[in-house]
Amino acid sequence: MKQFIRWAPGALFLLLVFSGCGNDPGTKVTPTVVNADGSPGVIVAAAYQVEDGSWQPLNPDADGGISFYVPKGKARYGVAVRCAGMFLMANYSFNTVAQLTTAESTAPRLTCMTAGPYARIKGNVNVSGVTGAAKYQTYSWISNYERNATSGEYRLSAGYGTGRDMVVFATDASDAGLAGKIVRGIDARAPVTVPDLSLTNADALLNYNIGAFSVPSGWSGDYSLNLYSAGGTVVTSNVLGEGTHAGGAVHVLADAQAGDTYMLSISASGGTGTGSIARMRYVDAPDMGDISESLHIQPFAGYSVTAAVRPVFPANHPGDVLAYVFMVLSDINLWTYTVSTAWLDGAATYATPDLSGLRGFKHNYALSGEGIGWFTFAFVANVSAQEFFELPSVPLYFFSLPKKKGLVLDIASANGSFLAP
Amino acid sequence: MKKSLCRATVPIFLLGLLAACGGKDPGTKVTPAVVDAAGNPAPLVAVAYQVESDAWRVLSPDADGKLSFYVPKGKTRYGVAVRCTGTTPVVSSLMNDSVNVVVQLTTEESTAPRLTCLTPGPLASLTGRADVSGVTGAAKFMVFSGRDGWYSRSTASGYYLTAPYGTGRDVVVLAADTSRKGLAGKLVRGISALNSVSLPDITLTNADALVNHNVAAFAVPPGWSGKYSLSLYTAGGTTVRNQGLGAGSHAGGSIRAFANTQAGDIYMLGIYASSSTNDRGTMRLRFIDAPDLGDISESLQIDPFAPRTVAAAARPALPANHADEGVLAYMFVTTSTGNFWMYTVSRPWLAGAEAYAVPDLGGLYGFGHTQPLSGETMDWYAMALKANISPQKLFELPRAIDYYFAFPREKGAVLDIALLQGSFVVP
Repeated sequence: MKQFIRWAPGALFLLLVFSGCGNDPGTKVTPTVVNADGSPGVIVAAAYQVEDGSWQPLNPDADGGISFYVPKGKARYGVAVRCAGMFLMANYSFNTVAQLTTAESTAPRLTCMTAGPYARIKGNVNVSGVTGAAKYQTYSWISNYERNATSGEYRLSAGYGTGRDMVVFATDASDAGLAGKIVRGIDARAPVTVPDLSLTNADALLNYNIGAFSVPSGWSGDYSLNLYSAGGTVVTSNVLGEGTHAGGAVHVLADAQAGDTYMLSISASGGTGTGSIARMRYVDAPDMGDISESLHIQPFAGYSVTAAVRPVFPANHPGDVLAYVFMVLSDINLWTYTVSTAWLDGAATYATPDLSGLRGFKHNYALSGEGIGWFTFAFVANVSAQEFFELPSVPLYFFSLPKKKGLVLDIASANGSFLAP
Repeated sequence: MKKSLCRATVPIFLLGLLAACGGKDPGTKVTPAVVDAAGNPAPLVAVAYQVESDAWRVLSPDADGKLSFYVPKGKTRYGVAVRCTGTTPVVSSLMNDSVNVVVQLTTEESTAPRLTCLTPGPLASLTGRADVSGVTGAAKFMVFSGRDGWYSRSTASGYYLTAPYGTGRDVVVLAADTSRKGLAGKLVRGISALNSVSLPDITLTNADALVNHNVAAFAVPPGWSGKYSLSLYTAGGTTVRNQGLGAGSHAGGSIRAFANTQAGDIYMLGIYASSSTNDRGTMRLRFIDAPDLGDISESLQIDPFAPRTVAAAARPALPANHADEGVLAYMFVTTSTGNFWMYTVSRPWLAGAEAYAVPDLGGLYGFGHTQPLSGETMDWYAMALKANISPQKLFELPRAIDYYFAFPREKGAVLDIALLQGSFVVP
């Protein structure tokens, strides 16, 4: 008993220490911010929100990392960043917001549509040995260079780093790919002059067939094939084949290998105001072959957005939607909002948050009278919410999409524009 | 006696408290301001500072985005470096530009230096229609804002511009003949560029004719060529750098000013000489309040740099050895693929050094990938500045942006500048 009493004050003291300093702060969230090419993004400003509380400024640590806590008993949170850099011509501020729950992810990946660091690469190419070749096209990273000639120079940029690659194609006069190859192992930590490249009939592309797919009555359909190479090259053009919902050929590189990922997209649109639907399937290069796909998601019905600088978007797709992505573009500002269905928690609309009072976000919204373009995407995916929010992403024009071999995304989209009131 | 003892203990106690609580003199507080090309506060990607020749340290803005740090007592030399977000109008690869500005000076010169990034900042769009067909001889017109220029090949058409966000902005319309000589023009003031603005139609007639003045001939070093030009920096933030306002050789000639400019609108007359190989130059820039503009006779007042090469390096040592004792500061600019750096360094900071070693900030957060890569071409510029203004003003005044450079701007200010330039492939 005496001993117990002697120990008790010590235990009490320790308890006090723990309750003072070790109070459970909740769930730590550590978002990752990347550029469009997946390189680490540089943050100009950041903010976060817990549940529907007010947004708080978030200061990066000395290494540029950001983190915050979602208190115990709460799960819904948001994080917003403004990134540094350029990608699209007219836009000077790139802002991205993710709103989701700790049950889905505590390490969401926020992709800014900004270019990362890069090095210039250049060289000469000759495709005159390819039967029927009328021109050459070259790609690396998010850059491309083409000429209406069968030989000549090219000037590209590659994402900074080692193990980069580039792709060269010979095409016919209508840009359909005839031959091509991947040049790997480029060390793009300094400007690169690539040894002369030539294509012959031995580099002929392999042809596969895309089956016909049905589209809603009165709609038109398209298919296309993109390539995301292991070394960071993006090819989004008709060189790999495109066509209507009647199906047709795609042309793939004979020397693509595991880690090079193709994305087949089939889509349908009813014309202006109807929105569109799409299915995107990622296929690892060795698994590429004839593909038969069909559209699996319903279109939005009667979707509209009321003119506002910070619009309120309907979030009412009837499908088994994992998340929505909303985009707002104006003269010099671009915003993307990625919002999980779990975060929406039954809400049928999503009101884009007002961050203009926070340092670094003040001038990032459209002015009255500016044109605003908006886009809504509802995503159904064959991956978990965690993967959806954490997977590497690939750029597609000014969008980014998660990428993984075997991933299938069904996407319903709507878009429009208005003048900011 | 007892009483006085008792009183003494209180101040001693307070003194002790102050010392214990860190009331120790922290030194001189420095509060740099970072602005964009229009003079608005600029968002920052990264900031660092340095005391004397110590290592550079990351500096975090406070909650309002303000910067400050202390230079310890007994020390005076310091540096501040910022990376701004956005691109410059002149070095735009439109991919991943970095725009970086460094100042290095002493606390005696300024404790509130103004760092100007050549980034555009927030913008509003302006649309309207101009008609200059009533101006005799007019073949075309131009419209200028603080950000943009619209060049029309006809005498009447719509225009579209962007302008820096803010109130009290202005635009300048200039009608020119087929040889681009300005004939008539005017300033349209009081534009509230808080929204996308549609301006009333602007019409120019012969009543808006430009006012002619004369620039006298000036001497240039033997074998060099000379030129002069007139620019305008309006009270509302518009810049007109156009030969329509008059430009010519060192033989002198006419300049043409707007009839409706007024106090607060500042003209800049520049007279320039450059060597036959174009690697060296000298210039005099005179800032003149609009009502004071008249015929001008000027001469070049600074000797050229001695010819000099710079050893190729990612962070070169740039020449800071101009012979003129009146030099207040040096400005250096380096450009490489996607990266722009501007350094302003005072003579007291250099403390006798004859070369300026460009600091290595690449290891600090936010400054990664702002350095040139091996194999890239670097262009460099070195300028020695003399001025009829104090060093404090040199570092604190608003800037007149002239191509790659940002010069202190104030009516009556006269800058004499010697320029060296070159380029090399980074090893």
